[in-house]
Amino acid sequence: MNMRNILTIWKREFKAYFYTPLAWVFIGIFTLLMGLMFWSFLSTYMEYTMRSQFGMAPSVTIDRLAEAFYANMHVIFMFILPFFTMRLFTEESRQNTMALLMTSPVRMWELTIAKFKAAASILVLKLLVSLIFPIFLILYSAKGAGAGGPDMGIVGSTYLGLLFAGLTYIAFGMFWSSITESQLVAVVLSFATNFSFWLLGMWSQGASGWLQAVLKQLAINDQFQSFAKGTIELSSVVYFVSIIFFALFLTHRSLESRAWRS
Amino acid sequence: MIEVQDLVKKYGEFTAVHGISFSVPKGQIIGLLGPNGAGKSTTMKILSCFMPATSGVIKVAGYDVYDDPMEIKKRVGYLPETPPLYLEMRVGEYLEYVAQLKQVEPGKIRDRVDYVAEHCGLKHNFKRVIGTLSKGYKQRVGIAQALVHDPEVVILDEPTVGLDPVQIIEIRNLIKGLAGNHTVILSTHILPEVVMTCERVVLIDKGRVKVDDTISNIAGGRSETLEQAYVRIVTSEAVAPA
Repeated sequence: MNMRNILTIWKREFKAYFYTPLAWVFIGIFTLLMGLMFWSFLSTYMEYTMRSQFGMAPSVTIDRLAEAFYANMHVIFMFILPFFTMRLFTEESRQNTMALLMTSPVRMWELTIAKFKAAASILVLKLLVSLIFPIFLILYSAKGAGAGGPDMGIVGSTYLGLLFAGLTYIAFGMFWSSITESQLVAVVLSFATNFSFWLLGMWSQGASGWLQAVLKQLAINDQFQSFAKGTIELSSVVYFVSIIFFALFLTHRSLESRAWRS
Repeated sequence: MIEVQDLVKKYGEFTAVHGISFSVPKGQIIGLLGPNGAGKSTTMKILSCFMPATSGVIKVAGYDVYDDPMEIKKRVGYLPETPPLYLEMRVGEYLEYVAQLKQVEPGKIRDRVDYVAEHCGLKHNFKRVIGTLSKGYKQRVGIAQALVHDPEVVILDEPTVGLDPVQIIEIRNLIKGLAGNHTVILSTHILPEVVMTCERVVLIDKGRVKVDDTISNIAGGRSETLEQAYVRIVTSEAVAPA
């Protein structure tokens, strides 16, 4: 594997996100949505805290607030990330630049990894922007208004979970983008895949025995939830890493087969 | 430099190329002629390792297309029918990217990019976004990307499409200037262009080589123009008795 090739393509792909307003718009919308949600959760939290002081409501910890908040962020990722992956290969087909890549001394693995890294960089950027919310909680509770800041360990493991889940959605989206030439089809199929992996958790409740165990293991939300509760389980890490590699492997196969299909 | 033996390409049931053979010595410019659908683009795609052949022995720059495609890709510059351009990039930025992809040494990239921009008449549009350029200029960028890594073999699929008469002359001179150091295969429908730029012609029709000769030999003996010779050869099958 040639690292220089990966670096070259990664740099171009990352820049390409900002040639069009797409990245700006989606990072903007994402931050706005998260901000509104944060605000509404925080007011609910404050209301509960106030009422619980008079024994009128059960007390809610700030960690519970963070957990609900990040569960929602996970859902938003599921819907927003397909828009960041839809162009990865469909654009190369449309502009015929795939011909340039395929006649350059670049291996399809290098191309796959470079594109994945570019989309992952955008994800990391979004996660960094979202750090504003826990930072706010820390500052806010330092002023004495809250009952202690959020547990930094839980915040940390939640972010790791968000990163893994996000990378999984990116890997799925990239695969669909390598299959079809239509951005719309790529987005729809990515949604469908993300959502199916999400639903596995619900389906598992209807199943029994070994099937239930398998479905529950495969359910992306159940795996994410274990991170959100502050535990980093090896099985969850293995789950995400293997599912990401499997999607990348399929992408690579799809790219390799292009030459034979054309 | 280029050796093709019994090249066959099938798209499913359809056979696009029926076992063609030809070779091009180093430094020569040849014109690949033939009617639409004759298999010109397919042959060029196979030579540039864009797609694999169904069967046949194909060697480019001393390497086999099956065994060492990576080595060939480093040494070949390829301009497809539709130039492979990132419309949202700037001309200079794009050429630099292609040079990096083709593994030009980092220290030489600047010089190579300047050189091709100069010779393809792109100096004044160096900072323009490719999507805003006219068709002729986009074509020039396409030619520039095929030459940026100073390849041993240059494969140009209809390089002068969309250019105005002045640009055509410039590009023709550019291609002529490649002779000697570079081996060039170009396809075109403009016959005078072949007369002016190429030393040899390989004419294919329905996936088979009809003529492989120098231009003077094809037309000279019969005192006809290349155009007349072309029409005679391409239509002969229908007229001549089997």
